[in-house]
Amino acid sequence: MNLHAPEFYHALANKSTELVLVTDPNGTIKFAGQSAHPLLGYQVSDLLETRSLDYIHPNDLPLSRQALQHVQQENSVQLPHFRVKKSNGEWCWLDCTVTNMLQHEQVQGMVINAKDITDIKNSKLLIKEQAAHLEHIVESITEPFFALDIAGRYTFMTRACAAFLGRDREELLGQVIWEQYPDSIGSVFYTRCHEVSRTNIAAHFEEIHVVNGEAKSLLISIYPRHDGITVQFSDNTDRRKQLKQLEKLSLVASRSTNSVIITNREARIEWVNDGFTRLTGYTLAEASGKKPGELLQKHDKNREDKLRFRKKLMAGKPFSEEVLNYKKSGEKVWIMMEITPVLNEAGEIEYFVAIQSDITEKKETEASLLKLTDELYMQNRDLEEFAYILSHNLRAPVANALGLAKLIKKVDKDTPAHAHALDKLHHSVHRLDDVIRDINQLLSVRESSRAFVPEKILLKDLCQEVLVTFEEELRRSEARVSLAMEEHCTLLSNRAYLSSILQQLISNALKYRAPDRQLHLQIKAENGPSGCTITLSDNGTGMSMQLVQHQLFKLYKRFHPGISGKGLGLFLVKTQVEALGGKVEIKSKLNIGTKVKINLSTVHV
Amino acid sequence: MYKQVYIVDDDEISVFLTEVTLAEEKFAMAYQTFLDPQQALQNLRDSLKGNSMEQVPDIIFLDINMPGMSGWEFMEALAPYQAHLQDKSSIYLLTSSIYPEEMDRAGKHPLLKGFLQKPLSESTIQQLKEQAYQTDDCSLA
Repeated sequence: MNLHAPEFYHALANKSTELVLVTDPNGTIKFAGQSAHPLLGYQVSDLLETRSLDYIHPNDLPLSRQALQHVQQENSVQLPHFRVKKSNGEWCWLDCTVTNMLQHEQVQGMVINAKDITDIKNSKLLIKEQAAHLEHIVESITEPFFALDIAGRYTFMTRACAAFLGRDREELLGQVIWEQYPDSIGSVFYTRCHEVSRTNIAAHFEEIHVVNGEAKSLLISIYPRHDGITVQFSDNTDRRKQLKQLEKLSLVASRSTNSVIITNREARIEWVNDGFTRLTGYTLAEASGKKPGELLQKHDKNREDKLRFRKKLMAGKPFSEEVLNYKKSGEKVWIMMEITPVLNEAGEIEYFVAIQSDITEKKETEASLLKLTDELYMQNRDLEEFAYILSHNLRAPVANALGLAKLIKKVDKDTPAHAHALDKLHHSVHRLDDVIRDINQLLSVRESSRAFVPEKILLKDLCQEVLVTFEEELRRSEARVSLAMEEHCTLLSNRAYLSSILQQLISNALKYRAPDRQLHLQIKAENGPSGCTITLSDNGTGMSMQLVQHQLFKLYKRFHPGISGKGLGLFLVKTQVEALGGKVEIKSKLNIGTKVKINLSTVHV
Repeated sequence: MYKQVYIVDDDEISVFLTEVTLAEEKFAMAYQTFLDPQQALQNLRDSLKGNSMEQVPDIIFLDINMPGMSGWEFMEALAPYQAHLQDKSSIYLLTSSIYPEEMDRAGKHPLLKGFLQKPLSESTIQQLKEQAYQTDDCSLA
């Protein structure tokens, strides 16, 4: 190594990876190292005798010029980073040092050393952009949060957080939280912070802290990080206050029999008073978080009712509603609910306060009143029917008898006309007697229906007993009867009525059979969820339902002019079925047949 | 004397009595009895339309309480022929009913001339006959 040979330095300048230039005092390039080509794309010969400042980006030029003025003798100056134009037109960032060596006897020029820092510059820019982007995201979260390192120093804080704390963000960063807020030491927050960084398990809780001289109820979440913890919190003070106020409010009612429920806007229970527990059997712990409907109503409430109720809730106005609820014990209880929505300043629903009172007794009274009204209505209807019967059916044979009696007086005693009239008079008086007996029978059904002792009846046996009484007629008409019922289908009912009902219906089937076809009578019995259903269907003459439906069960209504009958049968059937607490329904088609369906409620099974 | 009288009633004894009483009073030349109101309606319609040789009856005695079709339903079925019937036939309800509501209802019915109670009395028949002479007088004048 020959440190004094000029070739040594020449080689050094040429082989350096940095850009090496030497200019005269005016900035004209007199020497360029060979690295100029790989760095900027220019041949060394292209650069010589050109002005170095011509390569600098116009925007960077003023700063560079300014820096160059300070290059004192034998001095080096670090220029601010600037861009130069490469031979391909791209810009490249340079970190450049200029050394004044004008006085140096060998060099006599300005020596420029420069490094390409484009990649570093670009990645810094990218990092800056990403950091700004992240900050935007973080700052867009209105709930305040901050980060602590392992030593408890603030490493990050959102503007919202600084604003909430009433502190300067820059001032707090780097400071230890426990030094800034020594009162927090020993708090739940303090304990949890340490727990989270130890266990790496996030924690959520609510605690009251004095912030900015004011006690605030804070909902705090602490999340673990590999190098510390992140704390996020929200101010729950107003909500707490409201709840407190509501609790105070309901305390007034808590000693009364009324039950008080406070729900959130989703109608989920947040609080109930002792009255609620007394009324329903559910404690606050059991009820909390549930909707009152889920807790107190079984599946018997239909969708439409639910929708209607929801609509009322959402209307944001107080309303009341009577609902059937079930206690924890399963016992039914009728409730009057008075529901008041509590609105916030924006007019949105915050809470619902429901006051419930037990109206079971009132409901029961109502129901019994309704039943009484029903009974009275029926009796009134019966009375009207009776007035009609009296004026028509009872008076018809009387009118005939009167007419005949008058006629008999006029007719010669020994003529056939006399005997004929007498015969008719006899007939009329008989009919009168029949009507009186019918009325008596009807009245007795109604009377005794008030108190009958039910007995166990094997339905199949009873049907067969009744069919036996029609044996002769069934044989003569060659009718076919089929029984479809379980061997042990049993009813708890009134034997006499049931027998009379079957008798009447079988007699009807026989009486109104179609003349051109064999009668087929089917008697079916089924035990279903709504009780026992007995069905009698025939293929007889039937009736046009359109014509008869309103009068089918009316007393002394008849629909078959050609066939004898008083119009009592179906009326009696209906009266007896109703006396047994059941329902009767008839479907018929002219020339096809008739189907009678009797439903006796489960009470009698 | 009336020419043609309809008796619409399903009660045979009542029909017998009405016929005998009317005949005794020489009320009309011919009586036609219908135990089935549908049949009476059919006959009446036919004669109104001129589909049959039969005359439209001067008087119809109509019962109320009949199977299949009540007197009231019979009147409803006649409603479309009201204009035709009004000056040709006088329709009377002849019933055993003493039900006040039905009397009221009859009084309001445009086609009904009266509400008569069974049994038909001689005095009632006399009154009806007098009405017949009055209309005869009118037609002569």
